[in-house]
Parts: sequence; structure tokens; C-alpha cells
Amino acid sequence: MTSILGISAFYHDSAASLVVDGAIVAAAQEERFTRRKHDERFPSNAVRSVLQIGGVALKDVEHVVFYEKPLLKFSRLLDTYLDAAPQGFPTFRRAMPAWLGGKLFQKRIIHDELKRIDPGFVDASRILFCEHHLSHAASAFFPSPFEEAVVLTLDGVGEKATTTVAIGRGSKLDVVRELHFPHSLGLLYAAFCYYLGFKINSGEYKVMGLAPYGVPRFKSLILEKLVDLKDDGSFRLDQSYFDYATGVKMTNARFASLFGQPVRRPDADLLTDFHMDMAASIQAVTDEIVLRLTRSLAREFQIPNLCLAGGVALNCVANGKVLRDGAFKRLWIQPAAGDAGGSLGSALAAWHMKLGGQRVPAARDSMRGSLLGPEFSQDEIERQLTGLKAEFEIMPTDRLVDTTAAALASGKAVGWFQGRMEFGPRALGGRSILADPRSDQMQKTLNLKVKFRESFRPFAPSVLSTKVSEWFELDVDSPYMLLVAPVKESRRREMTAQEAAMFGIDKLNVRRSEIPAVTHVDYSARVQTVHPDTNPLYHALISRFEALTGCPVLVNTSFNVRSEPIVCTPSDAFRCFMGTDLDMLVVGNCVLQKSAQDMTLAVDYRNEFEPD
Amino acid sequence: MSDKVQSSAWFSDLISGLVFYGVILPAGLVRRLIKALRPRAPSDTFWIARQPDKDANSMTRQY
Repeated sequence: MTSILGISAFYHDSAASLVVDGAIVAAAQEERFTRRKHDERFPSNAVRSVLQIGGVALKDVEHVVFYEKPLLKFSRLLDTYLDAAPQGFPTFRRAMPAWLGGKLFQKRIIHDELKRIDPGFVDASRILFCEHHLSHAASAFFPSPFEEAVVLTLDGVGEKATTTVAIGRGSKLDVVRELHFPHSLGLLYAAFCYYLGFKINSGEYKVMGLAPYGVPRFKSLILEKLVDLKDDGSFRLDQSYFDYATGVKMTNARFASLFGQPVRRPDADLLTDFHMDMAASIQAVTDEIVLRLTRSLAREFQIPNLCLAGGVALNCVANGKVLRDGAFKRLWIQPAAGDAGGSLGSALAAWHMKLGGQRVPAARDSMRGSLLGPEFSQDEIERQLTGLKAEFEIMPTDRLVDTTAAALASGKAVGWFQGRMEFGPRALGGRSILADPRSDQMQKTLNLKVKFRESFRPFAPSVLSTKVSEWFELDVDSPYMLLVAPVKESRRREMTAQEAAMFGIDKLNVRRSEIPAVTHVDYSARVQTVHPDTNPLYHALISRFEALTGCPVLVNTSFNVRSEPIVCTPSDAFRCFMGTDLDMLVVGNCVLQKSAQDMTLAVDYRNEFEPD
Repeated sequence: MSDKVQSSAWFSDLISGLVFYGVILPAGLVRRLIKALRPRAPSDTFWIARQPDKDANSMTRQY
């Protein structure tokens, strides 16, 4: 038995993954254990968790693979300062001591951390390093259902590469071309995220969610001034508008002057039409770049399958456009497309590319529904809930499904905690907040009273896989909520001229379809298809909800409040349940009604988390 | 303790300054000069080609 542990760490979203004889056994993000969103520290808790799930001792692991090459990254840093000097000294002064004081010696740091977990892990030569974008590409290709595919990775930056193209065949994966820092689609999007007053590496979803409220009136200006975009999708960014290469900000005064407004201050400046139009514009530019890339790659390589990974692959609006464009016949996207997924990719790369492990693509994929984190036995759940003085009723599974479906149909918001925790940023029915999508008020209620987040943010639907094309303009699986598709025309309600003319966010109050809580203002929805083989209980719940209501769709949002990592344990779930307006909590076979709880146990913990 | 921290920060700034202005800046200027003398030929792509890595031991290296 050959076990390989993959690790991503020291930038953001640190994580650990375990691959045994080429099979993906477990994967988890450190933030879920430490309760610090995007935690970048060494993932000791995640390592312990995946090893425990796999029943493997660290000393018996054949290889530990780190998801990038630190010395390559350092050389990129030096290159950047060589190009920028005499500018850049303030950040150089801060960066160099950190590198010389430890980051250059990451192998030793990793080895020390591993020895802390298991003193028996003594052989440092078992630690390997995989290039950042190769880790992403491996995370996209090796678990995919394809024997052969073009693999496109797009993110902020790894070592030097920001965008790569690789060709995967069988158990081989070769990177054939790349774009280098500072020319980065991820950083371009992040620059607009910063300009719109959102936190980078976190607020990009908000930009994507804000875009449908606006008009892309700055698209040509961006393409004319900021991006030199070739027909094949390769591009360069005019660095005279940006500050991220060697500065402390993402954009500079020239950028603000180009668009005529200063950077939005999140606490002081309200979102206006201008900000919505900016969001729509950068989304349109992103779509354009991604589509040019995929069309040209499809033409050149004549391979019908495309795999995507890297942070930009979490842009499900662009993904949906790639799918509908049809240049590639089939598309597969790694659900943990960001840096966390690099831990999995690096482990898979070591198995297939270093150890020569063979690969047999699975029919759907080999991610097991991305339910790769820890789970809790019924005994453990009861022990934790009892310890917290929770009032709960234990129900057999059939009754539990009936009770939950009835509660949802009556308009209740339900915390749903079942089985293994998801790997990646999306809740997929393991740690989810669920609600009835047919309700006019549900989006506002969930945003303001449950999630405590901005009212403009949309919610996503989970739909039975067999019913997806009856409700959405989509006829393929989307098990990881990574594709945006329009709500089926027959399910929509057209807005009147007066409603269409409303100020962006006011449109939220207009009933736009039979499932308004998951229909964005442009009639789009970020769809998750639910399959009985990967998530049988969640599938049973939606089926029961359909039997009661005729609607095979539920609102599915992550089980957390704004800025909080998704809950990991039953205790986390109970705390979130008590601290929000959730009506009901279902953990394993335990059902908790809010009305039955001792409300003195409720703790307002919303301000514990740094706003994202 | 605070004096120690301050003097260590001062020393670190001094070394960083010497490296930045004494090494990085001159090397950067030379590199820019070379680039200016050998301008990039116009191209219809910005892709940088990469040879497939045939070295089975490449994962043992940090570069």
C-alpha cells in the first residue's frame, strides 16, 4: 500500500489530502478546524484528520508532497524586483527578512511540522515538491472522467506561471505552455475586487454576484487600456495601472483616474450603479479572455475534453459560458479549484508522474462527490450535543427525511449536517443551510437573518440530477456547483418594463421565476445537481420535498455566517444554529428545533470573524 | 527587549537597503538595457512554450 500526503500551505487556504494507491481517500482544509477563514498556516489539523480517515500513520507515508516549489517562487520575487527597481523597496524590505529567515528553507519547516505530528517521520528525503500549476493541472486531470484532455489552469500566481496549458493522456500530464507573472487573469479580477472595496482572495465571489446588476459599459475601456488580449486568449496587463507586483495595493492612482472614481471604502461608500457596472465589466472581460483561450485550444488540439483548475476556475459564470459555447464537448472542473486543491493535485502528480501509478478514469469522476473530509458517528454527535445542553430528538432516517422536508416546505430554514465534510469552498449537502426556493422572501431572510451578509448576494439551487433540464437550461451534471445556467424559460416570470428599470438591488424584490430565492436578477443560477450514488440522503430529502411541493429544488448555501469557515463539527453546527435565525438543525439522526432550545445558550458570535 | 527588537529591525533594514540598491537596482538596470537593445519581435501570441519535463527526479527539487 502506497500512501501519499499532499500539502498546500503558507499563502492562503492551506489543506491536506491523502491518496492511497492512487485513490483519493481524504482531503480537508485547515480553516475548518482552526475556524480561521482561508487559514494559511501549516495544516497540522488537516493532516491529522486525513491520516485518521485513511487509517495511515505519518511515518508510513511514502511521500509528502508540497504543492509548489519555494525556490522557484523566490526567483520570481527577485525577477520582479529586478524589473521594478528602484521602485519596490518598501515591500522588498519586508519580504526579504521573511524569506531569508525561514521561507527559503521550507523543506526544513515542513519536516519540523511533520515531526511535531509524528516524531517517527524522520526521513526528509520523502518530502517532494510539485510546481504550483502542475499541482492545479493534476488536480483537474487525474480525478476527471477523461482518458485524454486539454487542461487549462488559471489563477493569481504560483511560482512564475499564472496560466498554463497542459495535455493529459492516461497517467501522463505535460505542461506545454504558460503565461508568467505579472500577467494574470486572477490578479486582474482581484484588482477589480480590491477597487470595488472587497477583500481579495475572498471577495471575488461578491464581484461575480454583483455583476448581473450592472451593465458592462467599461469592458472596451478595460480591453483597450489594461489588457492586451490576443486572438488566442493569451494576454498581458499594462502594469502602469497596477500596484500589486511590488506595492502594497492592487491598483494605483492611474487606475482610479481611468475609471473616474477612487477605490470604494467598504465601510463608508454604498454600492452604486457605477460599482455594479464595474463588476459587470470585469466579469465580461473575464468571460471574453476565457472563451478566447478555450476556443483556440479546442481548435489547436482537437481534443473534445477540457479540465479546469486554479482560482479562476471557481468563476462559475465564465465556466457556464465555456460549456454553452460548445468548443469543447465535455468539461470537468476540480471542485477545490483554488490552492486547497493543490494539495490533492500534488499528491496525485507524485503517484502518477513520479511513481508511475496507472490511472483508470471513473465514469463520473474519482472525487466521491468531494465529500472527503471528516464525519462523525451518531454516538459522537449525541455526545457533543448533550455536552452542549442541546435539546434534540433522535429519529430514524425515513422520519428524519419526512420531518425535514415538511419543515422546508413550510418555509423554515434548516441547518443540515450529514456525513463527510466537503472539500473545496462549496457546501454540497454535507454542511449546508437549506430552504424553500419558491419563497419570495427567502433570499432576503437568509442573507440578513441567517448569513448576516450583503443583501445582493444570490443563493444557489440543488436540484435532483434527473430533473435539472426541467428547471434550468442545462443538460449535463454539475455536482460541484461550478456552472451557472439560466433558469428554464418556462419557469421564469418576465419583468415588466417598470420592474426592469428598477435600481439593481431593488430588482431582488421582484418575483422572477417559480424559484425566486435561487434566481439571480439576470435569471441565472449556480446549479448543483444531486446524485443518489454520491449523496443518497440529500437526494432522498430533495425527492421528499418534491413529493410534497412538486419542486425538486432546494436553496443550498454553506453552513456558516459571513466570514466564518463552513462548520466542521456538530459543536460548530450547534453554535451557528443558536447564533442565527435558523429554525431547525439536523445533525446525523438528531433533530433540533429552535423553539425547544434554551436560548440563554445562544451566543452572538458574528463579530468574532474578521469581515471578508 | 524592545531595544533589541529595534536594533534588529534597523540592521535588517540596512542589509535590505544594501542588497536592494547595491545589487538589485544595478542588475535590474543592466537587464533593462539588454532588453531595450534586443526588443521582442512582434508576435500574435504571448504564450511561453514549455518543454515537457522528462526528469523523473524533478519533484525532489525545490526549483
